[in-house]
Amino acid sequence: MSIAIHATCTAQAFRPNLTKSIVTLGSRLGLDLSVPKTQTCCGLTAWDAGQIEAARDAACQIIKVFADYEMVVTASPACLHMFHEHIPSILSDHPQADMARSLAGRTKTWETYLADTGYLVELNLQFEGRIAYFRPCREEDNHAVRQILASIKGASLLADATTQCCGWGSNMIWRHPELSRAMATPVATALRSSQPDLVLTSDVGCLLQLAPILKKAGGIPMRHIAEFMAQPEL
Amino acid sequence: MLVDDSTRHALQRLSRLAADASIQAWAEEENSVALRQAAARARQVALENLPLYLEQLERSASGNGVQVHWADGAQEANRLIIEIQQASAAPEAVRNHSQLLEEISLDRATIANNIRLIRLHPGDQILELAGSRSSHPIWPTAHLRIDEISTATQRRWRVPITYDPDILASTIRMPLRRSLLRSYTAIIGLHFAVADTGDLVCLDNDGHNASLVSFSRHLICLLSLEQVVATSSDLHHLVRAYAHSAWGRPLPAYVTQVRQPTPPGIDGPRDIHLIIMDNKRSHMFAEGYGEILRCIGCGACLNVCPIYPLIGGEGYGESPYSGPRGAALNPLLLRPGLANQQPYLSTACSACKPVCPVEIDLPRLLHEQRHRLAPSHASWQERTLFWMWRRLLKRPTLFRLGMRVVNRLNRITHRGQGTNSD
Repeated sequence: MSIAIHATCTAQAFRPNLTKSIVTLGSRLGLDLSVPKTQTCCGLTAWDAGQIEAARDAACQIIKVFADYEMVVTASPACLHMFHEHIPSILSDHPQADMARSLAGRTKTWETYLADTGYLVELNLQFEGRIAYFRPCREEDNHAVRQILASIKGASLLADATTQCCGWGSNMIWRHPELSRAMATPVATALRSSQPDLVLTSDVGCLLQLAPILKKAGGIPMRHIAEFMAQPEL
Repeated sequence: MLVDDSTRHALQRLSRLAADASIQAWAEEENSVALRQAAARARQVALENLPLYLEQLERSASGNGVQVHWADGAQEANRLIIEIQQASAAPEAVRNHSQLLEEISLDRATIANNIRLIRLHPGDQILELAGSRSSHPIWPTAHLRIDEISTATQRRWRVPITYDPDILASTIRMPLRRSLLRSYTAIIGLHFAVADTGDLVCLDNDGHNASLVSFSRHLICLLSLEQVVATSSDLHHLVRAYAHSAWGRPLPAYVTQVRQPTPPGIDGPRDIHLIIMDNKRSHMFAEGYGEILRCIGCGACLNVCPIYPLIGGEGYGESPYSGPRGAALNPLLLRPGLANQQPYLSTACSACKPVCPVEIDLPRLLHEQRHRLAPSHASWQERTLFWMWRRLLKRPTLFRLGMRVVNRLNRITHRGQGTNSD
């Protein structure tokens, strides 16, 4: 099966290691993965800014890029939401509305793909220590991540310390940086309170928002779950 | 934009308490799903047939002996209230705790016309003493600390400073009771009005609406047109849903229901005026943005919003409506340009969506407002940025290069700060 990786533009700019992790793990599992070079952005930034024409441009571009792949995987539930909900709605009156709907049906998070296709056993994940998971607001379906976390041998999984938003999303980080920071601080404090050895999350935005605070405050490492799966030990 | 630490702590604490109480009340409700659906349907039915129910309400209320008036905007509503008050020849009037009365700035209008307007709700009274204003529909003093309340009370009534809530409450309530006994006119912002019976309805947790109605001789009720409900059965569902979400209780402590003027010899108003106000609502419907008017004002969305406690009421400008509901409504309600940035006061975390008792999709409405406003109101910097971004989208090689440049710059500026940008 031909699988395309949607390399979230936030990750391209601020965490290129994330896409590399997916590629590394995919090739270890023998998957036919590729990162189409013609991809740009899913349009979420424009959608959140209210720039509907710009979001439409992005949507038109991205449905063409992924048209020939049987499956598309992404490392961001926020982008996935864009693929599932907003791209089909933006293009509902467009000649390529069918393509948008078809793409929505073929797109999953990388974690969901691995869990649903039974690859978790092969991964044989191990980690000695306490793991806290921070659930991104836009992660609607949590079953895959829960399965992955439960499959980590040797780890003790901590209960969710907080369900609050980290303050990154919907362009808050650049539109109101002071508000965004004020939202992140109590989330990081709550995560630290359970004294984890490692914090995992599944969205690159949450990661970029919280990892520096956690590192500065107590040296607690925070990683994307896709990075962890590719290389459990730092 | 951020409020000071003590305000933030006060709002966060209250929000959490109110949200937890509401979660528990809904969890204890046997038919919670059915109740939510019935409440949502009741709002939907009313809004879909608004002209019909408003006409029916006018007929029922008039039949009950209530004098019905129509007001286009806030100014006209104020003019009607003041004319009715002046005809009664009383120098003062008492009002209830109502965001609708805040919306029309009734206090300002009465001062300009030399009418003394007394706020009967103790919370509103504290706000007046402290020179502050409410930002929460249910808990008007949510943002104040007890020492601020105590100082304000001491300054006004020359009583010793105390942090005992009971002593503070009785100091504040005593003069209000006296005002209640001598005032003949009561002004009430309603919660609902029932089309088929003409019942005018107010909910509260301390009984101040019931007192207002019983003690008044002239009763002036203000209703915004979307607050009409079709039947008493619909009202029943909405009152229960409201109580669960607003107070964390299966029912409100008080449901004040007024139908007709009372004859001499019985406590109650001799004449009742109902002012049905539009204030841009019909325009919202006509433009296709009427969904926000399903709101019943329970405050549930404020209680779970991570942003509201950080910016308080001030963050929502001159509107009394705060939180996600305010951010979605204010750009349509306030003068153009005053609230254009408010729909951006959201991280799309969607915490407000599941708690709404009438199933309003607030995250979608906030985005709808962004899409409406951005083409004409985005800053030139933002427009330029997206103009460039759209061009970049069609040039993937350049786009990738751009991302790499951003990455390189970020690594240089954040070296050693744990962003792991490699």
